[in-house]
Amino acid sequence: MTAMLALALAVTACSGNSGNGGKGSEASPANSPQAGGDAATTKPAEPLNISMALMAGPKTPNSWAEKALEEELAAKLGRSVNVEPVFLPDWSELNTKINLLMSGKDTRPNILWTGDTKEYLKWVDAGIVQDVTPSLQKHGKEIINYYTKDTLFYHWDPSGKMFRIPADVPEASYMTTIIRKDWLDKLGLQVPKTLDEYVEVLRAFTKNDPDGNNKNDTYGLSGDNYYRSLIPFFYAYGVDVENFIRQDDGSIKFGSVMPEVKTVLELLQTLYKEGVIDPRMSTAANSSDQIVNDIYASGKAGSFYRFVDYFNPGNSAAVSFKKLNPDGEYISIDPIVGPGGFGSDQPDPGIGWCYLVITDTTNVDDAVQVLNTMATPETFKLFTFGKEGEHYEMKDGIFTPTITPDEGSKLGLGNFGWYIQRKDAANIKNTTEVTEMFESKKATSQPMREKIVVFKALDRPEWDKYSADIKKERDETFWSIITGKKPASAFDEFVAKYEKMGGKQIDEEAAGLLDKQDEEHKQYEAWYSENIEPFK
Amino acid sequence: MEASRETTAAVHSSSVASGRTLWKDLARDRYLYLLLLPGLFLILLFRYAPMYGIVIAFQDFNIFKGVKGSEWVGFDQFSRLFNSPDFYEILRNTVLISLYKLAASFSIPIILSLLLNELKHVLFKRVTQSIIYLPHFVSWVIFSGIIISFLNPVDGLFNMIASQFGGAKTDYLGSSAYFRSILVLSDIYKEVGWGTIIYLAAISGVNADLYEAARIDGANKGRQMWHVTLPAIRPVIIILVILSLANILEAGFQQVFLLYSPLVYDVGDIIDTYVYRVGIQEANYSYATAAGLFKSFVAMVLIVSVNKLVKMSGQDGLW
Amino acid sequence: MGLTRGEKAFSVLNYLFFTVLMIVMIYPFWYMIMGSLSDPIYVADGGFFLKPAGFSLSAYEAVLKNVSILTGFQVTFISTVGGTAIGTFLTATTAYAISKRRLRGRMFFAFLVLFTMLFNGGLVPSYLLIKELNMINTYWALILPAAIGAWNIFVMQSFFRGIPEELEEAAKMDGANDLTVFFRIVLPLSKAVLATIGLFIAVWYWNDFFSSVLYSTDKEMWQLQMVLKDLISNTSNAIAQAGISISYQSEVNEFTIKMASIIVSSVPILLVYPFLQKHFVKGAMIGSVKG
Repeated sequence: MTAMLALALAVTACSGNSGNGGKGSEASPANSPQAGGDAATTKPAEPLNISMALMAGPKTPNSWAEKALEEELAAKLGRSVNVEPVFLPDWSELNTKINLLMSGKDTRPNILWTGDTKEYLKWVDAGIVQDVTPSLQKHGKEIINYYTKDTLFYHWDPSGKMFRIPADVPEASYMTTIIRKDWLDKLGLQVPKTLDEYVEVLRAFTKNDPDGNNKNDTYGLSGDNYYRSLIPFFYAYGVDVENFIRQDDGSIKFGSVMPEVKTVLELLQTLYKEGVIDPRMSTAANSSDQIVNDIYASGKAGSFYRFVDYFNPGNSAAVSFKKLNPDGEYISIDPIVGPGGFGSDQPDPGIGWCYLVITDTTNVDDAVQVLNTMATPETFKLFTFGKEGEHYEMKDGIFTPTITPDEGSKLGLGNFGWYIQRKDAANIKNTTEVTEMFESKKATSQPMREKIVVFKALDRPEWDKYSADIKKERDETFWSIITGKKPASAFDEFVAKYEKMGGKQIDEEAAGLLDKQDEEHKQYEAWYSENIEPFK
Repeated sequence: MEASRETTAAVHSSSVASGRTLWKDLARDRYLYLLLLPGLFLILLFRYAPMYGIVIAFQDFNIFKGVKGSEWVGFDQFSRLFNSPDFYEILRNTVLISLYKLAASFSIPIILSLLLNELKHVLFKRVTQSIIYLPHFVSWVIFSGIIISFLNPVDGLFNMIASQFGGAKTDYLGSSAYFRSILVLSDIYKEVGWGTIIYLAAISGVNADLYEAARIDGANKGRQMWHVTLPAIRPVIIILVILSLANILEAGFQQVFLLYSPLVYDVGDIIDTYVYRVGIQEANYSYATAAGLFKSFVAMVLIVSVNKLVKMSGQDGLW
Repeated sequence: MGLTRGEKAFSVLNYLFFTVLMIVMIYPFWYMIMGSLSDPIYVADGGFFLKPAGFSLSAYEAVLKNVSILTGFQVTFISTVGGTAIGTFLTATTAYAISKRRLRGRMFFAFLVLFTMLFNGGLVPSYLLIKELNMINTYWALILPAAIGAWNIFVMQSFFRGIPEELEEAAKMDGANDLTVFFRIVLPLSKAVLATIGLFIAVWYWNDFFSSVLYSTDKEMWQLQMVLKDLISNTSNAIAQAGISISYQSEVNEFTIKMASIIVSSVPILLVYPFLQKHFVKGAMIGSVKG
């Protein structure tokens, strides 16, 4: 009864399991020298059993998608393949389950999907995950062609090996400034380009009754209660409070303590006081995407910084909005430009938010062959969307499912999502318009991409040690300033405290890591041109 | 009844001395031990066999090195917890919130069950009971959503009503003045009906003749409750209070986590939410285990001491 | 037996009070039912404080058509029935033994039980134990580890202590041993507490999902709450990852699904209490004592 919740966090002891794991891989053919021969063709065609930990989709056991995949694999690999899905539990219990599965050789899936980056280091240490480089060279063409050199860098181990394969790498930028076009027209306003114009538009949205119901019930800006919803303000000044930012002098600095932040907080404080900012953004009220989607659909706020996906016609928030506001129209606009002429969309670091490891329980060549087949556009489309003509139709480049979502779930469509998740033309769900939007975001997010430091190292002990306390202090201070609970001068106190709370150690560690990373990158360049480039 | 107990106890203690009586006692109570055995077996197997896991609080635990292979760090995890910048604040918040809840969860269900017991219409009574315990089945995830839809400053019901009457809109959830009250009141609301079940069971065991006797003596309803019902269910109340001390440092992780925000950290951040945020950052199992162990230790000390006090006052304790 | 004026006034007020309380307490369920019946498209507009926003059964369809809902119900039903039977019985036997003052080692056993209420070895050792016992993906893993708990034992013990010793001694005079006393006298007299603790245990099993997380690797052995949790989490995540992943459930609304799944999953267990209430009839114990 007590400590049930602490329990959920406290994955605890493991007995004598330590010594015997991990050595099995040495016997596998992957590590034995093979003089360039194709392992698959020389092997007898015995059936292949491959277990995969799966997280996405409806998690349908014994599904059509599974069978379809097995048939594809059998055709491409020339042997019968039996896919054994291991369905992972929902997000809150995910890491617990993965830890338990990985703790014993008999329960370890052949291919593990995971998003947790910390445990991975322990797996490498324990020797229970395999280097995929040689197999990628032999059988991984599709994979190494799909992921960029930069993406692979973050999955590369400085020892010259690669123990993990990226699974789902988001688009270069998937968020955008969204604004109510019909409100702009109604109030006779232009699409805002600069921060000043944007602020004036938001004010007008709040005070000039844009929905014409004679009630003061609209807000200029709404969104979730994360800093990302305030990006039009922060990015106009070139700051991101969650990241280390490259400074003009070449040094780096934690975004939260940059002096520009104070200017932004002061502006936000004024706007909050004027009622331009939805006050729910400062509390638990707007902590879930569902609630923000509802606000988006209800049409009572004029601007958001949110998902490009809202512009896909099938998006539920978009559908809902259209029904509730038949005359309403949202548009995506260019990043708001600050006084210094700077503006940017939020860049995705391009690392991928989840990845795959091949454990010591299978032949790494087999596993990579399976993954490579899954990565081919035809196979990907098959188990993701079904068969064209049977489950969906394509007309003028627009994807229309001919089955209901329930039927899709029964078929297990989506079960194998987030494996090698293609975001290119193979993702036929995106309309041409949305695909173009994603394309253009590459450029609009570039300015900030150049400023934000992405650390490759997973092991950041000082950051781990101090950041929880610093973030608490920061969030308390920032939101107190925005809501007017504290004066803007509280920011200076936070900056002064930052040093004392371990900020100094964090900064030093960050600088050191960055130097090391530049060094690593050079090694990686050499490794890539030798080990990957020729095999593309 | 009391008297006969005391005599048994007296007889018992006078015969403890010799070893022969030990065997005699064991033989005499062989069927009691037989009854004890299966339950004890389950406890030993499923609770004590894994108990070695506690030591990871004193380690920098690595799941692949196991308990044996992980590095020992002594009390490092504990001292880190105690030395964290806001330790005093989160401890105070935890204790205050859980004390308020404890006081409410102990007193209100008793009052409610006494009142329920006075409902003479059987169907009405049963329907009432079955309805007031419903909120217990609403998970905090849902319930917090309902609370937010009532209290949020934009279209929350409370604020909509207030603004109908020309009142100002208040951000209850973002206000340090209201936050703890929201936690405590919503907890009462959710659990009070569930809490009456056990007392109703206890009240059903009260000898009806006692009420009759009290009535004949001219006692009104209030006096009957005070002089008959309450004393009869006192042992259960005492046990429940002692057991509830186990939660002295459990202020309700889920509830707080779903309702708080940086604006109310000063009054709402508790040990569990703090440890959770640190844990997310680091995937640090040892730290979480150490925090859990600290909470359990405090609860254990409290339970054992209060149990002792209770027994000294002549009441039945846990043992 | 006439009531005084004060008593009448009290009685009226009391009925009034509980009528109001019922309305207040039923609200969250009302809200959930209205939410679950709402049309996902109109949920965004709010306004279902009292009635659904639009009307749609799509959420119930999504929940009831979920591929794993039936196995979930089956697993939960079996583990609840099994766990409640085993748990209630063993809680009673254990509690009865340690309720006896004369029992040698009683304090030790009681402390042994109490200790488990506060301290535990954590997840991995428990998991490894179940694995050693070959119980992974079995009902035993979902039932046995949680069958008896300290809280229930102590509460039941305190009820047993309330049973007059004279009854037991009289039976012993007639040649009964502790077993016959326990089964023939103590258990029949303790229906109220057995029903109560049984209910607590049943509700625990019914709401359990974590045992599946730990001890089931096969989705066919997922408990109902686990299936629903996953369904909800997946719906919301499909939304959260919108734009960076494929969502096949974009027409479905997380909110309505959540509400519908709670209604679907809680109705069966809610029906249990009304059936148990006859054991709470006043004076049940005394009646048997006399008879």
